Amino acid sequence: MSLDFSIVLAQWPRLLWGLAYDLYFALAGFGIGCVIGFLSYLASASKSKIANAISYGYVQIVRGLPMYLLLLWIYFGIATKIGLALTGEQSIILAIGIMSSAFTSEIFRTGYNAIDVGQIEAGKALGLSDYRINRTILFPQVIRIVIPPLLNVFVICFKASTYAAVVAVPELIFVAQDISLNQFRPFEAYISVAALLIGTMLLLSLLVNAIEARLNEGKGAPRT
Amino acid sequence: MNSWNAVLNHMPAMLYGLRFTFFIAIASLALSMVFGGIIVSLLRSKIAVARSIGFLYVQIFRSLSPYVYVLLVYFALAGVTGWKMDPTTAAIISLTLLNAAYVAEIYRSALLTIDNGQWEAAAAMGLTRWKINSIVIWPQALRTALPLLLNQFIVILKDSAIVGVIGVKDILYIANAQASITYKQFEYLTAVGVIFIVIVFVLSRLSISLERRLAWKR
Repeated sequence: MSLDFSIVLAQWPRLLWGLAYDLYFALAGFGIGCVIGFLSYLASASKSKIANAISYGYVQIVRGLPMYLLLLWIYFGIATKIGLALTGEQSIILAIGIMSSAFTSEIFRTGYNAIDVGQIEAGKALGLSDYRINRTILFPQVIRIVIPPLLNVFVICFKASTYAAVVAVPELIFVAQDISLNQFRPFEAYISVAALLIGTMLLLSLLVNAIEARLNEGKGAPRT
Repeated sequence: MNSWNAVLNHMPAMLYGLRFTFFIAIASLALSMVFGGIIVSLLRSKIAVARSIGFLYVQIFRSLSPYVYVLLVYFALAGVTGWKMDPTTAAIISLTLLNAAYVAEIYRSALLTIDNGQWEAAAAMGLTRWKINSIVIWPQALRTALPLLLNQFIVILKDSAIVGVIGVKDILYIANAQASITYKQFEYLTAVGVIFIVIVFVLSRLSISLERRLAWKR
């Protein structure tokens, strides 16, 4: 069998649109994941035992669910039970958001735990309000600690966004399936799409490394 | 409540499908442990070309979701080689290719925990390279790696839910098929979700206690 990539390459606008869809799902899902994850962290750090239990249960449940199952549950399950029919796009974004929130919640927790309690006490001793302590002392430090692991979660979100093909969103894998069915070129279609995804992933991880190096730059001499 | 009874009646079939899920996950982990060993020896080799092959393998195979690999192996690889593999074989091959990269990284970090002095001491005792690896280094590395490998098993188990897209009759495929007939997606998918959550919770508790039990006491 001879390989002919020109058939696949002729479809380049659709392939690029597919990639754009994947990046969009990853970004939107990651944003939602950060918000839910932060709320879940706040619940786990609160003094209320009930809030702690809810946060713990939520993280355990989300960790146990396969991404594919979560997506099907949101897309088909919710629609058939309560009649709230989310579109494929909305479903994948929500699924990525929920899936990544389990990671981000733990990341925020380790970020805040890394900061010495003495700093909060010192802030109180200086007469700062709780809001000011959070805003001017804790947050700037926490954000530095959490950015590198959060970027890794973004990379995971990008990997997960290809699942959108399952709910018929014309992202990259769906385009590959379409080409392989209509042009009978499965190998060329899937290999091209895989190469495109791997290339994007490598660029993303280079970007992550560059940002990490930039963040470490400002730290000055390592503390001992 | 009637709709939940239907799910309960279908539970034996779904649990039968769970056997495929476990079979695929266990076979993939076992094969990944072998291939991961090969890749980590490439990564640690003295030859620069071997190192870069290992590095490329890890980078490439860690960068796509299992969904893409299942499709690639089942449709693309089968199409170009003419090998008519059955879906279960394709699922095991794709999950092995993917997870060998992660297992190699686990081995690498486990081998890094072993002090260089042990190599030197073993060499000074006159042991061959093979003996050093098989009776001194790897037993210790595997002990460190065991909880991490159990965690990876959890990841494989969750990833294996995707194999339904190529027609492996795993738990999710069976539940989904029955749900499409009866329009009870919510009930069936929720039941599968609960089963997965329980399995993952139990296994991750096990992994934590294993980690504590196997920790080196100094």
